[in-house]
This record gives sequence, structure tokens and C-alpha cells, in this order.
Amino acid sequence: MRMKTLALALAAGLAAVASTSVAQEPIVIGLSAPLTGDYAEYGNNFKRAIDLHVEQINAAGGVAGRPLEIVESDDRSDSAQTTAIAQRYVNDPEILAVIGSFASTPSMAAAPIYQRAGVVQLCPSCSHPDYTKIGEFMFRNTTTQQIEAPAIADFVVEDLGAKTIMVVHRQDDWGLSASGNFIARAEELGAEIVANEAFLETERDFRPVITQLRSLDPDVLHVAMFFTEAAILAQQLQAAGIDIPVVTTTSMFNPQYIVLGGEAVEGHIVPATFFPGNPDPNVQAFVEEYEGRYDIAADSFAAIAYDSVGILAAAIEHVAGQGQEVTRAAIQKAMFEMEPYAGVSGVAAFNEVGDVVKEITWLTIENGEFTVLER
Amino acid sequence: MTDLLSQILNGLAIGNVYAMLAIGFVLVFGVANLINFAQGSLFVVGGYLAYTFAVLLGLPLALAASLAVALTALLGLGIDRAFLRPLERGPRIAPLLATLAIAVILDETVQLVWSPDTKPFPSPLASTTWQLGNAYISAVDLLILGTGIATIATLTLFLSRTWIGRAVRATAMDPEAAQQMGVNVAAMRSLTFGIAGLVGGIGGVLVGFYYQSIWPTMGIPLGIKGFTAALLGGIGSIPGAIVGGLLLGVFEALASGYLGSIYRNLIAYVLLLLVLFLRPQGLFGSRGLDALGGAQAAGGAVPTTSLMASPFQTAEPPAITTPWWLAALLLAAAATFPLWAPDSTWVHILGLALVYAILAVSLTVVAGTAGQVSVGHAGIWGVGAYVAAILTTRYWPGMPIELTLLLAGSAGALAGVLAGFFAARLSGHVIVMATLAAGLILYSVMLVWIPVTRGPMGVFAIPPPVLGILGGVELWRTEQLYWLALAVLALVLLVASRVIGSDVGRLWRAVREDRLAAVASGVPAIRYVLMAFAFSGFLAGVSGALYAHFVTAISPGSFLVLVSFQILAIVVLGGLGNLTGAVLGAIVLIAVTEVLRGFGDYRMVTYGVILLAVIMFRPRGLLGSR
Repeated sequence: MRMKTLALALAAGLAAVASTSVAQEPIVIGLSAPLTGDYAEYGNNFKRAIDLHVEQINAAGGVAGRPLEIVESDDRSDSAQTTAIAQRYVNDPEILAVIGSFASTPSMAAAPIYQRAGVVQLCPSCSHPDYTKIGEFMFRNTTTQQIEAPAIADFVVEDLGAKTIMVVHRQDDWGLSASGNFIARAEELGAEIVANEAFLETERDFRPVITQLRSLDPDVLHVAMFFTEAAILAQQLQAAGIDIPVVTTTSMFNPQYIVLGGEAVEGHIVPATFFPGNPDPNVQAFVEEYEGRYDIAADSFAAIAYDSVGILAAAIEHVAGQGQEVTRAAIQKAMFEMEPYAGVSGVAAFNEVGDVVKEITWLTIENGEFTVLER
Repeated sequence: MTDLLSQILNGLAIGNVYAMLAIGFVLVFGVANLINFAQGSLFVVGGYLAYTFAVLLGLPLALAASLAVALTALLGLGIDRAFLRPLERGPRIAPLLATLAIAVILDETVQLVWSPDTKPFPSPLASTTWQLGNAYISAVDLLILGTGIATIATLTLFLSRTWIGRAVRATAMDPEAAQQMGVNVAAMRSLTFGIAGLVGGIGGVLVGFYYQSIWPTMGIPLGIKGFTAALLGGIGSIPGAIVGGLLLGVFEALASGYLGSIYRNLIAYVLLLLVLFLRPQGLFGSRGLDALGGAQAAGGAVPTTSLMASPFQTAEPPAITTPWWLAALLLAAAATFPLWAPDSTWVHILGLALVYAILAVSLTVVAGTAGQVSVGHAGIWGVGAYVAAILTTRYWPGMPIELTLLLAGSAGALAGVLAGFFAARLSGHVIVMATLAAGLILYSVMLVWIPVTRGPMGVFAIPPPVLGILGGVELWRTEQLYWLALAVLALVLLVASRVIGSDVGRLWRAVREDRLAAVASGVPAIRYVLMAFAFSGFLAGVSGALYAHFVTAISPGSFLVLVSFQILAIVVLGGLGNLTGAVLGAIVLIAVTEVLRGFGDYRMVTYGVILLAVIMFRPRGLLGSR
């Protein structure tokens, strides 16, 4: 108890010192995320993780000796809103870089505005293959399906030895890219794709496809959907009494997948770039802080948003470290030049178009928990 | 064969759920002659209340469910008492729009109270299942079927055997006669809404059991399925709701099994349009229902009830018109806005508002002047946007904007005629359903026609428009786009006001006010309605093309049915049929959305409250209907 008080006092003292020594202009980063509407779950994850990291950075003395500040706007994942927000952000000379949005289309609507104004747009979660092609100011902190999906196919065909595979995917930019890249690689390796079914994002009734699955009887089912609807698919599979190896995409690595799916998701094999059970002290510190403060489990969306702040902060440190003035353009250059950033969702390096490259960790669900898959 | 039978069984299982949702619509439509958009929200509330009592407070599931159902019934009753009864003497469109606003408020409140996350819903019966062929049924399916049959039996007995039930039916048939017989018509209406709330609450709990989870945005997609089932079975027919639901489920399951799951919604809405076209009263519905206009009469002489007319004669406040000098002053202020605007953000926002204004003008012509309330305009708008986006990105990046607008407008006109083709033979609130279905079909086509629209990938990097008359200047600066939108809006207003003031406009109003009289005087009503849809569709297409250039990236998600509702709200705010009102409504609503950004989470609720307040206190809009 006494130790804790002491530590608190010490931290407060440090913070006080920090705030007096950095009584300078803050570094302002804009956040555009869906805080309400259909994607609000994800947008609020972003906001919580980002707020946490900004506070931690400021408690530790800020970025390049200056306090970090976030300006947030709710875009409802709507293109009309993201473009209006982008206009406002680029017109505010204080804003040096932007994080957002969540989904690809509204982020891509805003991208040309950031590109023209020369402002880095770091989208934590944009998966659309063409997002980073819009310009050299577009970056993402999620591995694209061009990198992830072939790796999953390698695992399914080579490690699990699947000869026949059924694929179900979400009918959106991400799902098409995930299933397309998976199928291309799996067929290259000699596996047969017996069916490839697409679902609209509002779909919750999977019985017709389960009937198909039963008559096709594939070796493995590959699920490229979001966890909310995939959990319902898992329950309907269980109700149908079907016991088939299920390999998912990284989107299923979310504690809610187990909360919603319950017993039905036991044994599912889930790839992840962020794993809170990872013994890495950085990851452990993040998980503890995040869960302690918000009382919800830290998921990969929180992790990539948390790291997005870290990446921008590292880029700004890189600029300052070279004795240059921190400008929008300098941050963009630093994103390519700086050392790979060791974040909680893995070591992030950007390739020449601004796509991030990270490694996959294989997990499975056992007794209601994600555990590292024994291979 | 096994698969076919299995798929039919799958369809019956989900159809069961649709049937349960359809009963609430059928009741309210039968008695109050109203499509209750808030019905979907009622079952969302029911589901969340049950979740709260059972999971958060730990009450036994049966008790939790009963409490939730009772509270939802009270909510249904309260909605009628507080918001719909005062509108009884107002324009016919007012209650419909009020339920829309209430739906927005309820859905958003659920998100605020319970968070937007999907919640696990206890479903002890779900683990008991039986395999049949390649399909299965679960104890939940049987529970839903049993509850559905029990609900219908109880309702049928109640309506046919009790005095209150007879009074409810009398109210449904002829409220004035019922009143003269001493029936408390208002109380019967409230009772109907209470029962609809009750059925909605039961539906919410059952949907929770079925999916073993609940989520706050489930109201709209499942609500639309409930409407569709109700219309298939026949509005006003309670057994029809069950048959309609099962039929819809089976069609969807077959579409999923044999065409692909992404086609199931498309198939469902096409089925709905066909039923509306071939048998508008549905399978079991009565032809006599006022809202159906008594089906198709010779020559298309459907006795329209103008949605703006009120069932009671009231003195209409005069619509406010714009004197020419004020119009000129406003135009000058708008034209110079980029020069004195605080920053270019506001120029962008106002520019977008002008694009919406063109869409609002398009809707106010067809919904106001011609009396055909369309909630499919987002789809028509999207057609214009896609035509412009595809042509300028894929085929001719330097295409003059004049030509783009012409082509996008023509495509919009075509889409408008398509929607109008089905709507023109209907009347009243059913037009709303037909245009809703048309809008949803257009949206579904954008989503699945990947070779052309790129489906969910969308079209992005749409180049800036090129102005042909100035020798090919690229308009990429915010203020240039703004001026383009302003110029097009000015032209659209000029043309629209000329058309409305012409003989054509007069005939549109004649068809709106008294279709029978118009047909008797030799007006080919259907042709004129189609003309209105074509004209409106053209303007919507033009607006869509400008929108595509403004936001530079479009995907089907930009043309959701919510956008149709938003535009309808704009038009109502300004006053149906009032061009100035449409423009003003668009600017006010877009600006309000921007100002409300500071309210964060409360923005959409506030927006719903504002809309509801306008409907309640100024149902003819800020500037009055024309």
C-alpha cells in the first residue's frame, strides 16, 4: 500500500516536472472514427486505446519534448462525414497527422484530401488493397489480405493437410480480398475449393449454407468474416451437429468472439498479429493498463489503434532526432526512414507503398480462452 | 432432393421469425392504416429489456421476458398516446414520418444505453436440435412456431369474440361510423399500438433466442423483412402474416442455397415488388382497404388519398413563397460564400448541402407535387453517382461535366421510371413500400453486380469534374466544386419551378388531390405519375453525379435506405412540394448535423427529436406545403 502511494506520488511529481519542462506547443493528431452508428464498437475501441496511449506518452514526457494532443471527430463511417472532417483537419495548421477512419471506403473518400494537403493518414484497420495506392501519404497498420491470406492458406493446406476446403466470406472489400487471396494460394498448393459463399454484412441466418456444407463435406471450413456474425455461424454449425476444423481470419481474434460464440467456437483456429497472452512485457503492460482502466478485454482493434499512436510518435521523434522541424511532410518521410516500430501488435515496418508487414501467431480456442496452438 | 427439402426446412425456420415480426405491422396497418416504422425498434427494445432483466439483473428468463414484453407494450401504447394521437387531424403523411423519427430516436437510445456492441443472449433451448436431412430444427424453432400460432389464435379470438375486439375491428373498418356507435376510437387505436408493442416485445425476445445474441442495429434489416412478410401475406390479415413470413423465408433459403447468399435480399425485394404489382392486397388481404386504393381499377384510376391532405378539413396556412428580390439576394450571398467563409471546411460542407438540396428538390417534386412519397431515392441517387463514377474513372477521365450530368440524369430518370412503374398503380402508404423495395433492389444490385460496380469494393479516386464550356478546366478546388453545385442547383430550381408552374405541374397536383376526378376528366394518370418519376429521377441522377465528384469514393454503403429517410426528412422539414423549402431544409439539416458534431453520441438522437418536433408542431414544414 505504502509502495503504491509512493509510486503514485513519484509519478505525479514526474508528470509535474514533465509538464513544466514541456510547456510548449502541443503536437496535435486528428482522429476520425465511427463513434456512433453501425461500426461504433470498433470506433470506440480505437478511441479508448488511443486515449490511453496518449496519456502514457504525455506522462512520460510527451513526444520530442512536446505534449501530444488528440482531436477527435465522429464520422459514423460515412464518406460524407469523413470528407468533411478531412477538410477541417487539413485546414487546421496545428494538426500534423491523422489517424482514421475504421472502414476502407470512408477512409478512401477522405484520402485524396489528405494526399493533396500533404498530411499523413494512418488508418489502423483499412484493408482495401487500393487504399495505400491513393498516395504516398496513406499508411495502414493492419496487414493486408495480400500478405495475410496466403499465409493462412499455407497453414491450412500444408500444416493441416486439407484436400478440400469450403470458404465463406463477408461480401465487402476486405472479405473479397481475404477469400480471393486465400483461394489463389490454396489452389496453387493443390487443394480443391469445393464452395466459396459470400454473405452480406447484415446476414445472420446461415442455415442454407450449412446444408450445403453438409452435402459437400469438406476437410476444412475457412471463415473470413467479422466476429459478430461468425459467432452466430459457429452456433448454427454446432446446432447442426457439424464438427469440422474451422480456420478463421485475424478478425476473429477478439474476446467477444468467445463471449458471443461460447462453446460453439471451441477448437477454432485463429491467426493473430496481436495476442494479449504474449509474454512480451510491452504487450503485458498494455493489456493490464487497458483492461484495468476500461474493464473490457483488449482486442486486436484496440492494439492496432494503440500502435498507430506509437508509430506516429516514433516518426515524430525520428524527425526531432535529426534536428529538423516537425512538419506534416517531415513526418511522412520519417514513416519510411525510421526503424521498424516494436508495438504491441508486432514489429511494424512499412513497405514502399505504405503497407505494414507483420508476422502471424497461430492460436486456438480451448476452454473459452485463446491459447497458442501446439504445432 | 434431400437438399431441396432441407433448404425448404431452413426457410420455414427463418420464416417463422419473419412471421412473428410481421404480426405487429399487420395489426397497426389494419387498424390505424399506418406503416409503423418504429415496429422494428420496438422489438429491439424488447430484446434489450429482456437481456437487462435476465443477464444484468439475474432474473429468471421467463420472468425477464414477461417483464420486457409488458414494458414494450406500454411503450407502444405511449408512442401512440404521446406522438401519434395529436397528429390524427394533421396531414396523412405526418404519423408515418413521426414513426420514422421515433425509430431513429429509439434505435440510437438503445445504442447509448446498452452500447453498440453485440450482446450474448441466453437461449437454453438452442442446444436441443434434431437433424432432418441436411438441415436441422431446434427447440427454439418450435418455441417460435408455437408462440406465433398462440399469438394469432389469441388475437383472432380477441378480435372476433370480445366486445373490445369488435370495437377494434369497427375502428379499422370505418372510424367515423364506429365513433357514432359510441366506440372510443382513440382508445382503440392506442390499444392496437399497445398490442403491437406487446407482439414486438415477444418478437424481440424470440429473435434473441434465435440468434443467441442481440445487436442495436438489427431493427432496420429485420424490420424490413417483417414489412415484406406482412405485405406478402396481405396487410390487415393476421393469418396472412404467418403465411407471408414462411413464404418469404422459403424463397430466401432457396435463393441462398441455389443462387448464393448475397442474392437473398435481392430476391426478397423483387418478390415484394411483384406481389405489390400483381396482387397489391397480398395473398390474404382485403381489396377494400383504403390504403391500397382498392387495387387496380380500369385505366389506373386509383382513388388516391393525397398524403398531404388531412382526413379532416382544416384551414391550411399559406405556403411561404420567396419574392424574387430575396431569391436574388440569397443567390448573391451563396455565390460569394467562399470569399467570406471562415474556412474552406464550411465551403465543402455547404457544397455538399447544395448537392443534397438538388436531391431534395427531386424528391419534393415527386413526393410533394405529384403526391408519390418515395423512400427509394437513395437508390436512384446512387445510380447517377455510379454512372458518373464509372464513366469518369474507367472510360473518359476528361469527360465534360455537362455530358456526365446529362448521362447520369438520364440513368436516374430510367431508375425513377422503374420505381414509378410499380408505384404508379398503387396509392397511399403502399407507394412508400414499393419505392422502398425499388431503392433496396437498386442498392442490392450495386452490391452484387461486381463486374460493373465493383460491388463492395466501390469506385474510388473519381477525378475532379472538367468544365467543357470553359475549355476543359479541372474543378478540383473546394470553392470550384461549390460553385459548380450552386450553378447546377440554380438551373435545377429554375427548370423545376417552370415545370411545376406549367400545365404538367397542375396535372400532377390534380392526380395527387383526386385521382378519380382527374381520370374522369381525361387525364392519363399513370402516364403523368411516370413522368413525375422520370423528371424526379433525372434530378436525383444529376445530384448523384455531383456527389460522386464531391466525395471521390463511393460504394453501395453510401446509398443505404437511411439516406432516403434523411432526404425525406429534409423535404418534410422544408414543406412537401416547396422548392425553397427543400433547399432550405437541406442546408439547415446538413448544417445542424455539423453543429451537432459537438454533441457526439447524442447527435443522432437530437436529430430525431428535431424531426419529431417539426412533425408535431409544424407538420406542413417550415415553409408550408404546396
